[in-house]
Amino acid sequence: MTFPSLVGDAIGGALLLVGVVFLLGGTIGLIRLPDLYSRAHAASKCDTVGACSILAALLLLGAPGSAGLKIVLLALLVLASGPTTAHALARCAFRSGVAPVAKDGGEGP
Amino acid sequence: MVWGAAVALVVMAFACLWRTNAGPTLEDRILAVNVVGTKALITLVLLASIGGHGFLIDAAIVYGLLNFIITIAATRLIETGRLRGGTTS
Amino acid sequence: MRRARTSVALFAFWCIIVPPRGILDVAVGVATALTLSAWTSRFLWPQPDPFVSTLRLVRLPRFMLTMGAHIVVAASQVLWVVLDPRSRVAPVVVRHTVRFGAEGARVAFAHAITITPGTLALDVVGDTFVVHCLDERFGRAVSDGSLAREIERLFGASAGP
Repeated sequence: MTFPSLVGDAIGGALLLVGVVFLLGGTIGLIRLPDLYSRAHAASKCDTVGACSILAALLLLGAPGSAGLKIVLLALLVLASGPTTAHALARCAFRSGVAPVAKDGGEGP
Repeated sequence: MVWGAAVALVVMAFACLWRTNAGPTLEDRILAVNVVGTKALITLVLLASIGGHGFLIDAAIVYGLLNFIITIAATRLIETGRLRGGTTS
Repeated sequence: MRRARTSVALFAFWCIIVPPRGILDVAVGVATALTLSAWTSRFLWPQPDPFVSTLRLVRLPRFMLTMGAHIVVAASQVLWVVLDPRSRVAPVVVRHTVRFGAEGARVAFAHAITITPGTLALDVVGDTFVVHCLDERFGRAVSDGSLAREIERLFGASAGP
């Protein structure tokens, strides 16, 4: 799984940086956005992409032993679970009547 | 470089903890805990990569699965008031 | 048959987690996979088998690649909204009705809504999808039907307006 070349290291480092930036965006979005539904946007998309980017970077930078396959598995898990949990939470809040901050005044379920 | 990413992720995870304390609704808190879990998962993988400890990746997989199941179970508990039984709608 | 497939998947998972080094590892893995598939068959597959045609399996990788591109664009968009200090989000909730033939198509469409930029599927009631948009312009991708056509292409089912 190792890819011990300068190009691989450079791409890996870039992916690592991109991942950290996306995760930072997810964090700031979680703190800054006004209501649960908007925060779910940030958490589902930015975190999923950031996590997958960092996992891909680690794959390029060289994973120990047989870890490459596990990292791919982990990336698939994150990719599947991120949007699903966001949707589950949003549906739960929507059904229990948390009104979204909306221009048209918000509406219940 | 990998160290820097790991430290940044831990700082971000602590920043997310603020939302678990401040979130006005229960769902906000669950979402924040979920995000903290994702960041902890990535930190575990980064640490595995730094130290060459393969077992930390196994721990990360278990962490990810638990994170997912806990969130789904919690939303289901809030929505239906129970954990067992058939699916809703 | 279903239980056999679950067992095979679980055993593959075992082989990834514990690279088998001897006959004992394989034996424990097979035993675990069989026990777990027997135990989970009660609640994992309450409905009858969904029909998955070969054509769909062929189209699935392309669909996943499309969705992968979508989610990167979506994340960049959310990043832009979050990091711009002047931006004020003006979220709207829109309802959109699409009739799909297959149950799987509705699930795929709800997921695709979550993955496309600025939209999040809130609830599915029958054929009506309740969608939360970060801004009004993001909602157009859902309501102009381009996304529904993509799902339709994958499932080969009729997707009316």
